Amino acid sequence: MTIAKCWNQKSQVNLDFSDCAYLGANGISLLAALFEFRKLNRLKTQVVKDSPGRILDETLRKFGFLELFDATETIETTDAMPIFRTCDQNDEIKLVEYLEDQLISKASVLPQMNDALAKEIRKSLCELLTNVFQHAKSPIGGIFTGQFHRFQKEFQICICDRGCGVADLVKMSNKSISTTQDALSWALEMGNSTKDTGNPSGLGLHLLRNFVNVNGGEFRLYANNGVISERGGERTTYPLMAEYPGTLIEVRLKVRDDVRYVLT
Amino acid sequence: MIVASLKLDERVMAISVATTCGRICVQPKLGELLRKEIIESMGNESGTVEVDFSGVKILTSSFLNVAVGSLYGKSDEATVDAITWLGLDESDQSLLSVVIENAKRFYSLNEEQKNNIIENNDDLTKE
Repeated sequence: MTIAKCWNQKSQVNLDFSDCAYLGANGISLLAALFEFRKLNRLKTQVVKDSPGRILDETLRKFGFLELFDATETIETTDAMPIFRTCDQNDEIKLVEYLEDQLISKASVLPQMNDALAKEIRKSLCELLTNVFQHAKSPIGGIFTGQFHRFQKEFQICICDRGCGVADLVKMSNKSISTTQDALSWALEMGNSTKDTGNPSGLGLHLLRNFVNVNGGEFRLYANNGVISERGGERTTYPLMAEYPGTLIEVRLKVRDDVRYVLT
Repeated sequence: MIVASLKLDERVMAISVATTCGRICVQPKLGELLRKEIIESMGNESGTVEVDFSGVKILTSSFLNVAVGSLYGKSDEATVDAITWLGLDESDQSLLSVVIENAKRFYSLNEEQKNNIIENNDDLTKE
């Protein structure tokens, strides 16, 4: 069964990891969103006992995923950022502290990260936190997680919510946009916003995308039935195999200390 | 012969963002606090307004849109452009420039474009 059918399934959902060899930060955040959404709706979700093999079990533990289900302790590692969930839009201080803790605890194994990069990462996460609460109206709040890819020297951050999804929001607020691809592209442009606050807005995703391009990393936005991705300034859109009723933003950043970040 | 020159006493209204809003400037509602303080200071016709970001650790567009961008909808462009922004590093200075550019574009939309936005958002609320 695909995950798309699990969100509102009344009977217990059993997550069977028997055939799963690898799960990254994006998959973890999606499954965490599924668990939290079902929990909020008083629907049961369980991990099939012993279904994750030894390696995957370790992966699930280091992201703090198994801790959602029982008292299984999270393993402290140098390559995974455990799940951080917030339902409070005023949690930016906690979010920054969480990130600082992660960056400090991983500092010994990460390539040196200059202050400018660390600052832009903090800033981007805070922009996304505001987005989750201003636009997504996600009942489970936002789920943050991340991963350090040592060999690629990349730092991956994922932010997942279970709001109505950027693509659908754009289509609802712009009658002239009908396709998911057009909706996702529209959402990334400067000044475009689905929320009329009476103030100028619509910079968060645009700036994040610019930052990732300057960094040479990759930006991906999954929403509803589509994905938009950018790497090296090249944009790709493609349909999702199974619809995701929410938004997942995935950013991969090159960790290097010889780049200055001035966004335009 | 002594020539006396009359110099206007130009007052500087200085605002510390870190004191008003704290070191993490992310939330739009914090931006409202700063906006109110700037508007009060702009009310002093003989003075210039200086906004100092020294000590601010994180600054985002969602905060600046409200604190600075919305000033362009409440006062004339020249008055807002005359504000001095201090204590910003290169990256935050660049962010502020993007916010100002976006605000000027937003407030230059014609009535028909603004009505379209409001109409679309009304539909969204109904749905």
